[in-house]
Amino acid sequence: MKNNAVRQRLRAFNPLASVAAGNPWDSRLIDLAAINQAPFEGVKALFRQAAQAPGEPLAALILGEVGNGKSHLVARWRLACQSGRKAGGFALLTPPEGGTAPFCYLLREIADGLRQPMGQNSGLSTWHHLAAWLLVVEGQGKKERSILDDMRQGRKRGVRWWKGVQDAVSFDRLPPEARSLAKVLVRWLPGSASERREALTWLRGEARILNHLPRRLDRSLYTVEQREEEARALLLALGALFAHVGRPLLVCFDRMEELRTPAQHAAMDQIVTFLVDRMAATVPVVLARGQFWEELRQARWNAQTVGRLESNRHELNGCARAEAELLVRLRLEAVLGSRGMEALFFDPAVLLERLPAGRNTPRVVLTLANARLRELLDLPVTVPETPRQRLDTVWEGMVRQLPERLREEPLRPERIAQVLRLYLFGEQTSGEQEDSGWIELPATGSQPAWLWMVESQFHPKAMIHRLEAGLEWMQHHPGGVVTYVRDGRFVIPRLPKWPETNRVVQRFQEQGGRMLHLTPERALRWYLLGELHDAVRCGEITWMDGLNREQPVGIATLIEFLRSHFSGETEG
Amino acid sequence: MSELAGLIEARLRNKQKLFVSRTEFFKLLGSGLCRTLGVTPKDSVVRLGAALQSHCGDRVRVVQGGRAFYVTLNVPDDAYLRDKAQRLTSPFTPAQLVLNLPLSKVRAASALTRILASGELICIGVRSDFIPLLSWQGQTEPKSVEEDAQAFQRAFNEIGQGRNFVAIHRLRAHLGWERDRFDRILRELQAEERILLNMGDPTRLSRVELENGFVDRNGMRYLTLNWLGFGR
Repeated sequence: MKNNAVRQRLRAFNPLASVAAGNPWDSRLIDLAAINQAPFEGVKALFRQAAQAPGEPLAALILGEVGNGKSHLVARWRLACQSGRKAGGFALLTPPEGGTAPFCYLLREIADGLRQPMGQNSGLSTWHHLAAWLLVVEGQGKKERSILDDMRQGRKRGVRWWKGVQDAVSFDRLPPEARSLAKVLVRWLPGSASERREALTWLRGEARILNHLPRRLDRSLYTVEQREEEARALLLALGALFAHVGRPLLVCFDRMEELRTPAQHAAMDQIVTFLVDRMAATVPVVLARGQFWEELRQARWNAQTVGRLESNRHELNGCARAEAELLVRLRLEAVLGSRGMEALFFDPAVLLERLPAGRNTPRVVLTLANARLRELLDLPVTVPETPRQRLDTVWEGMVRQLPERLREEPLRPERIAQVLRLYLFGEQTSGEQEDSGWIELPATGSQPAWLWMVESQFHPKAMIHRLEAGLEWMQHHPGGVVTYVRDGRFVIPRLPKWPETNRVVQRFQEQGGRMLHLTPERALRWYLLGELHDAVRCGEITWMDGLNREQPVGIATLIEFLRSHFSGETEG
Repeated sequence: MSELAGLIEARLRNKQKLFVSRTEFFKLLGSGLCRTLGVTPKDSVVRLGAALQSHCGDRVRVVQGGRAFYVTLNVPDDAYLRDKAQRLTSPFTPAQLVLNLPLSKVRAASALTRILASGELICIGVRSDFIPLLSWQGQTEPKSVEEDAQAFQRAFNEIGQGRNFVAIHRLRAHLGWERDRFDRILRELQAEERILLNMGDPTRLSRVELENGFVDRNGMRYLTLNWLGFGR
């Protein structure tokens, strides 16, 4: 490869421009194994230990500030845990937005994590693999690969065998609470598209109408407390299944700095304690910023759980000079290939001539190397962008992914409330209320009082409760405006199904209440805005100022952006 | 006279004190020296003062500070403030500095003024009630890098209280060093791989706290640091 070709290749795709890990489910990562190797191996060892001793309470704590590679570690664990002979499950969670129903939240998030494709080549979710492992362990006569091939084709292959499995398999060796879960996995998950959708919806704890699953699994009559109890039971069952097939489940918690209220802390404490002490074959890993960890401890988390986390504590310590040089080389080689590297017109070490002596975070390494590379490529000095321009660019990238994400994006009702609250109030009151789906604006001057109710639980009893609270509010606020917001993908069944719910909806609308059903695309935009908010809050979105310094985009900029993109969204 | 004075001076210096209260003085002396001095704990301040004058001259005296009486070595007023400033944790207020010293308000104010003018004591900020915050700078002779590194680590441990991630602005305030001196020791410790500088989360800090982070020669701003090899 000639000199000019190398320049053109690097100008077209600068391998040093991006420092963030991005989406850990995206396997297109350029990473260096030597960085943060100790914490990586430490958690991998716990993962193996959980497979051998599923009853042992295991947990890990990873502390590191922004730019130290936490998200990269998560992506590496995901790849490592989902490949090889003893691959297992992986889920990545962020803290709950509110403090209510923590186990429903935990079940939903883990279920969504297990929906992701397993490994790089499978094309099937971890749920499918779990079903295959179960059938292999139950000795149903087929190997894992053959079972997975059948499932890819919706059980159209090996029809007689599948019929035999459905009739014969009873899972007597499993604990009773795990048998329902096992049957859903084995009988409906591998089925037709509608059976699969229904099974996945049921697995995440929702109460949609059941067309394929047995009536006894119908949750539409459960109270919130009953659903919470069932979620706990399903999680225990899930752990039992993983233990039964000899595979572990890694559950990572990132963005812990989003914990702000006592209710969120209490919910998070419950969740982590449950995973450590009760759920078999499961390893929770908490990733937190170093300074923030002390705040978590002071929030009086369960002392035993904190002890378990601290017993496998790892601090991210950046990279030494040699590692920094390797990282830069690796990134260049990913773009240029080995022949391109031979034709490179500069020594990669030159890119780090301004790197301070000693250890540096990967972010600093890549930022400095990128600045130097731009000089060597004679690229114009970066026109200083404004934080708002940066946000616009990031948003455009997110919106371009809309079609792809529309297909698989699970319902995330808390995001809707999060974004609405941010739009109305700014950052000050986000997350402070117990019920994040109840958003009130008092009357001012000629403006009436407003109430937005964002539905967070796709369950008839929860809907009735919410709508009746809205009706009561209307009585106390004559002239006030109530809007009930929900993701339109959650369809309220028509009469004669859910009769009580339909009656309350009708009464609500007759009294002047507004129903705002977000189309899937519109709902997804709200979800993406919520993701953008999280990224800004965590300091992950940065812009380059006129002195080529990386600065984080602030919340004030996000709110300005939100108000320009969001106005009109709250209308019907 | 000189022997008793020397004994009293030695006992005070062993306790690393320039002065003690009346009660502490009698405990410090013990019954034997009290008999030599010819005083008892029940004697009046005037009697004690006369006895000290008689046996120690001006080397040890009784002085009133506020409402209390103290037995003190004969040192300049500035010495009391210097001694106390080095014991206090920065930053501190002028009131905290002069509290319980064997000085009248007027003399304390004069001494404080002199020390501020000398640069040994500096004002590093103002509280929200506009009370100035002071920090001891010490002698102006340059410390060695290793001395500074040790002082830095002590400050890190004091602020961290067992934690390994500390905000740089807090260290800067605690040490009260000139900017160049503080920044130099950060660079040295980083070069020796004793610390890792982190960019931190700027969204949680005030403007002043952000400015009191560390900006390196490339313009990169760091807000926290952790000690490498901590706890191992």
